[in-house]
Amino acid sequence: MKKIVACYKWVVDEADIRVEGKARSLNFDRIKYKISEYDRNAIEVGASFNEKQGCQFLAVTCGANVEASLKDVLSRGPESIAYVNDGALEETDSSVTSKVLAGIIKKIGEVDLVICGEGSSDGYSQQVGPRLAALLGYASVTFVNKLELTEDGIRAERKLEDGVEVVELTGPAVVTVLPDINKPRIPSLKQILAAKKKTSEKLELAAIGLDSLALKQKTLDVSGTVMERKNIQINSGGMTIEEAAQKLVQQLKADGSLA
Amino acid sequence: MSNLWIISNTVETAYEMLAKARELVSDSGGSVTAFLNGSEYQAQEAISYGADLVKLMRMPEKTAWEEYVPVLVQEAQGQKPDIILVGATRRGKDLAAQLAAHLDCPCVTECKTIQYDGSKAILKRMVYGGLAEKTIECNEFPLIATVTGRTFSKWEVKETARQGTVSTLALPNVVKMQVVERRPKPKETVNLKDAPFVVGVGRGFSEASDVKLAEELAQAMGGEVACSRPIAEDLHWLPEDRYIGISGQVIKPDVYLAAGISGQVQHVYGIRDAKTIVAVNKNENAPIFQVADYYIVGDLKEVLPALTKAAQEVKGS
Amino acid sequence: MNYKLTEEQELIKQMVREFAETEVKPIAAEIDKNHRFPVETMEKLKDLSLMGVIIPEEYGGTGADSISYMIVIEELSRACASTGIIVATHISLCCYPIFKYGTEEQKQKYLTPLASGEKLGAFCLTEPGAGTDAAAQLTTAVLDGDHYVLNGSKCFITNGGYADTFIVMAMTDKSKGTKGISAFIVEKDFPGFSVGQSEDKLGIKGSSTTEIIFKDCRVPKENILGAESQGFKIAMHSLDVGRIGVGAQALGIAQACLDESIKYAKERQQFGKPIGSFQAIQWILADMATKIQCSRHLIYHAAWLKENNLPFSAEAAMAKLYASETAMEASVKAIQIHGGHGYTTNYPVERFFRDAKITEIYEGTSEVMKMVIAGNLLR
Repeated sequence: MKKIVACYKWVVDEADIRVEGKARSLNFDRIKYKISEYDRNAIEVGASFNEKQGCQFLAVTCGANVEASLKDVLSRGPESIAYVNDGALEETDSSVTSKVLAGIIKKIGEVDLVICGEGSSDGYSQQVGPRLAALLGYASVTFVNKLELTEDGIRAERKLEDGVEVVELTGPAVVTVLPDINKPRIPSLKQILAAKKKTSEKLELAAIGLDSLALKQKTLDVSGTVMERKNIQINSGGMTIEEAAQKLVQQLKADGSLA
Repeated sequence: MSNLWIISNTVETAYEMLAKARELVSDSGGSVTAFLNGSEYQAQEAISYGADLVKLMRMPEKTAWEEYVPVLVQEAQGQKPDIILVGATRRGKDLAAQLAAHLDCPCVTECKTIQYDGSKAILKRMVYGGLAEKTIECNEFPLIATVTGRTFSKWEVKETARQGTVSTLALPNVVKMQVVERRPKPKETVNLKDAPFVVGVGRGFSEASDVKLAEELAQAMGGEVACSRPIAEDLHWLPEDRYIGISGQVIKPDVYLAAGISGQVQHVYGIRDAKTIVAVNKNENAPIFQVADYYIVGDLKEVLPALTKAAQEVKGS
Repeated sequence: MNYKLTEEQELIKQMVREFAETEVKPIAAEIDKNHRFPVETMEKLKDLSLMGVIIPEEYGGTGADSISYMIVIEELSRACASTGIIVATHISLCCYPIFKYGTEEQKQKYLTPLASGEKLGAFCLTEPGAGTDAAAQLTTAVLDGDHYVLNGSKCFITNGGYADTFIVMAMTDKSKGTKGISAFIVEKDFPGFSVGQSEDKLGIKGSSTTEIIFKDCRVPKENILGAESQGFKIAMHSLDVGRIGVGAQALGIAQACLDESIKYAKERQQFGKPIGSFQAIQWILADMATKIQCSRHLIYHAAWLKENNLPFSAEAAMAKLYASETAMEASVKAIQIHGGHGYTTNYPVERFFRDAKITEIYEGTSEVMKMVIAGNLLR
């Protein structure tokens, strides 16, 4: 029986972030957290292997306040969860996150397949999957939209810029999945209520052999992006659509935007 | 003296990064090494575009290109590059992150700008789906940064007199993945990135047959048709490689015309650097208008044919 | 005192909202326009185990608490009031009375398929001549051997055209007035049962509202719910649960009015500014939000009383009265904020307006709510 782990990140819901003032600073006062969208696909992959092929399926996460996410994730299919919840992880980068996750996965032991989303919906650095593979010594199989388990490995289709690459491998792997690999379930009321009966294991950083967590990069500033655009309505003042169309094309031509 | 690397599986992006790499080493008189998936000829081109050393990393037939990672780790431990720019294709991003983990070094994905003074680097990148920009300082080297195509510009004029050496890297003896099949994208699919004019189709289109209105306009303007994510992924009206946004294509055309697109940040991420943005929407309050240079409030079924006609007249004159 | 939803209740809210946003809201305008019962949604509600929220797991439900139930109805109604009332009627007025008053055999046979969502339920009390005045019932049930024989007709029956199982009130002893009413579990396939005309309504057009006709309809003796003559008590108690459900439906509609109004107030520009920057609009929004919050507290409190087996009739009536009037007022104001656009079907607020009105009427009108409240004060 294969042992599968899905990693997820508990991220701020970017829809709740407000951009304020001339400095375009970000206001996080009213934010809520959620399971990163792309990770929901990863969880769904694991849940489906668990249901259809009887694989053992665990979730893994880390962060500074991830305990609020446990029931949520457990309602989505994992049999149990192992996590690190530590204030030291208030600010992380892909390097730290992947080290902590690798520590948890090693502690779980004998994991055949690790599934991650292609990136997180906050930072979208798309590094944790391949970094985990490197740290665990597993194969890195990224941007997958079709995944099958084989007797002693996997077969995966990677969607790349110039086409599809079908790969096979034996042995353990870290797979990052694309959103089109599946449609994540909305957990049922039964599954939500059943989540409290599942087990969760909290691990300390020391227990996974991590004492110091040095960030590799320092954030100097995060501010709302500015789009300096002209915002001119072409058809104001009762102009007909035909006139507006001509005016727009003339304008683009005058700007030198039309070849 | 700085030592810069660029790694890319696409040559165009490699040439662009070479220009940036030369700029970053210019004061210190350092060297630039290009790791390139390309031919001998392209290696010479890379030299003319700024490389001192070219190491060819040809696409393996039976395994993935990313399997070069252990070889690159060895090279890096020997050469000690300060900054490694990697072309941010999917392969490039995978390889960059693995390399960063092995070298235990920072990696900044899809940076928009990079400044380097020999002791620290300042980079900018988008976060929160394009809502915000993050400024990052790195004091630890090597530093890896991935760069999407067209972030930087290659030298306008090649320096054909430049001299450099070319060698070829070998794959490691043991690889993890077997490539059993490669299915290239069908040739007829478009290259949105090179189209000067792009019409984006959004949910404002009420039925699939109306997409032809956008196609006619694109044709009259000598451009291409793209779309928002739901059009490709939920409705399948257009192929997936035509959707624009944070997880799709990022384009920089001369003119982007958003037709019936509401203007979510994830979509806007993909058109942020268009020279001119035009929007057509029947909802006078559509958020897309806030990021548009010009807009027309009206029904797509009237506006698009009118624009097509106006464009044909201009081209005809 | 604890004013915070539990983690589970938060998750339920998030789940139902996601479902409502992605599956219910997108078809809300269409089912309204076409007067179409959303059959496809019923299948999905079953998969999400939302059809037996407060019924224990052993009878096919989920055993969630009453506040979770309110959350489910509020969130569904926020997307589509028709869908909200289909579920609320099924649970409050069909599943719940069988759970509360049924025999073990009745629960196994009828409640389990209802609560698991295999079957849909309805409740038949109102008659053309007996609305608020339940004692004026003309439907009769006469014992004949092993069967009761029902004759008469019921009107305005929610889910009428699609339900499998009906709780039916009928007179077993006319001389006793309300005390002569008994309740029966009737299957749609019983001989003599038929569905009459469908109503063409002002709102909640996606829900089915029909006449139900009993013509020598033979109902097995063992299908009586509770004892003979307990029907009125069963009906009134079920309606207490029904009323917090309708209150939650009204709350969902009111919240949808506020959501749309805020969105519009931010987007719509007049005199070069968003209309939300004008105090005239701000005050309307502030009043709306305050009344919605009041409604929510009243509803959750009544549900909490029920959950803790405390009397809640008066509180249920207050919750329904206040929430339904808030929904009506919020929908009127939402149209006002939208101006001419709000009067068209280009925006959903005209639908909210039509849907809101029924919450002041069914399962006891506002006037009846006041009777119940006053009755409790003066007894």
